[in-house]
Amino acid sequence: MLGREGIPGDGEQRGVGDALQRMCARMCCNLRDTMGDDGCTALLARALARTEAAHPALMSIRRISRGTISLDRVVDGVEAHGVAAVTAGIEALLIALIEILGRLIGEDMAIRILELGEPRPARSNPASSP
Amino acid sequence: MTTAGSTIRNIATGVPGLDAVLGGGLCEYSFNLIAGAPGSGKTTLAQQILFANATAKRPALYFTVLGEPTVKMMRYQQQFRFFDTAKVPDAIRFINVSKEAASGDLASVLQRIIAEVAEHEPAFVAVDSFRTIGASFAPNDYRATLDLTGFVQRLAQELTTWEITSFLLGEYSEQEGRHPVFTVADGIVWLSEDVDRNSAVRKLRVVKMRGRSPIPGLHTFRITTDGMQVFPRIPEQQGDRPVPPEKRLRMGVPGLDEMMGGGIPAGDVLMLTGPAGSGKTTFATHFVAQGLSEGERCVVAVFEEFPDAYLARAKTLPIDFRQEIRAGNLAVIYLRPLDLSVDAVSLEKITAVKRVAATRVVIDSLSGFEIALAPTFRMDFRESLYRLVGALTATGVTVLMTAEVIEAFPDGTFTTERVSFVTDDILVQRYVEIGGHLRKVLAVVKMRGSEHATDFREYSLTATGAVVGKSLTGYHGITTGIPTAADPAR
Repeated sequence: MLGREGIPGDGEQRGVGDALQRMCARMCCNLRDTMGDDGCTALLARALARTEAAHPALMSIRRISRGTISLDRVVDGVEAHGVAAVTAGIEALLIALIEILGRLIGEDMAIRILELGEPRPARSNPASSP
Repeated sequence: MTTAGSTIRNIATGVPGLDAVLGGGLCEYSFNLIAGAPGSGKTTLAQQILFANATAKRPALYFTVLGEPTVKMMRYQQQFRFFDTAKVPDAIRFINVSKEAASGDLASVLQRIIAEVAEHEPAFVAVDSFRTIGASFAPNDYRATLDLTGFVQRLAQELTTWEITSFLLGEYSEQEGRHPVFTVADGIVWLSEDVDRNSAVRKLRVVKMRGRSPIPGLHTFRITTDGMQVFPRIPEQQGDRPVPPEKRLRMGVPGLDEMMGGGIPAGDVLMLTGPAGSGKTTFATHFVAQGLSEGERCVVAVFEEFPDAYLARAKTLPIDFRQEIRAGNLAVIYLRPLDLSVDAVSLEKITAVKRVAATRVVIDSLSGFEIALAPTFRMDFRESLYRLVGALTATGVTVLMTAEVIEAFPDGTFTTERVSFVTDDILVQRYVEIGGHLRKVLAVVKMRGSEHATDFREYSLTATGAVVGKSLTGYHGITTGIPTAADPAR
């Protein structure tokens, strides 16, 4: 997922922060699309609860507004904690999310849902399909 | 100038039995409503259809609205074999629109659905549950009705324009016929569940299916780990009964075929009645063994004992039934559950008849068949039996049914219903007491359009099967069960 966001090879802090932010936004969007606001927030809340103690950087990248959790402060988090800490925190959060969701609906489907956004094949002409 | 009308393509549902009920399948680009109470199987039906049809190139969008959390729905639905998790999300994409629905703004719901449709270009769309959209609909509220009608019409218009076959799922009751979605929908499939005493029977009705001629009436269905299976209600009129060949099928009981003018006329339905222990199953087993020995194929439906017990009993005969099963010449089907519908039973039997290309069918026994049916079907047992026999004879097979009687001579009455009207031939067994001994006698009561013996004959059940003996002449009042000798000196 991180690779798809085009993380700069020189590890430049701002560029990495932007790439991590895009990845988090896409992951949350995918999760919200499938599970709805409530489902997405419930899953994120549990995953954060499991990981924040070991990765305090996560506390600075998430925002809670009107009962909804957003991961929209990644760049700020990178500035405060550094690339390595935020990357490790997001990695741990993703693992927790996949574990939680995987136990409910299966790991494969959980991964595919979080990774939505791959280019889709063009739809075939219905009239010519069998 | 000639014009060519558009041909509506069929979409096979992937639900066994449903396409027949729908009149061939679903119409492509149709706007369908799947209605029923909570737990009636709406989500299962919609997802089974989508998983059968959706591909990455012709994907499906499954919109979930307020109600069961998506994660739980996905968790439970994936227990069905049809739920191929590899199809999510490329072929089937779940999209939650609870936020828009909760706002109560129908325009924003429509906008979101159309935006997703435009982005993904699906071939199929489902909205589960549509009921929660416009949940506050009140038929007497003109403004609300107008809003909802406009929403439904626009949704139908958009989905059809995008060449989408769609399914709206909703917890509607049949009294809600004024809901706008009922008017706009091209197809309406109603799912229900009848609870009668300890049994529950699921039923499906196609209320409306534009462009198709569905089979009317209520059709039973089951939901198992394979998903939904529909048992189409067998139309009472099966069409012309095939003209059977001019031949007799020998029963294989020494002495009995001679009483019956050579055996059962091919294509007939024979009912063998008798009290408990009179040897009905033994006679029926002879009928099967005789057919197998002559190169015919047979189906036996047992209701009162397990197949192993039935096969063990057949060991006394010279034919190895287990070997015949392995060779594909014999099918023994076991139908003992207590919530069967007659359509489920019929489908099992007809499938077996076709699979083995059977010419002889045994139903052992009608009493067991009646008990195996859900109570709701027992009330219509005569109709059920009539439909079952009609379905079987339409395949050209010769049918032997056994039925237990208590004290009902000569017409084969059992339980509270007279069922002899469905038979061509009736064979009656009974006990008589002569000289302080219980003896078994039988008579041929009826053979439609055929000569047959009219005397009572004694028979015995030996270690190698049944044997019909001599005529029980010289006695009066055999039908009373306590005959007296015509010649008092005997």
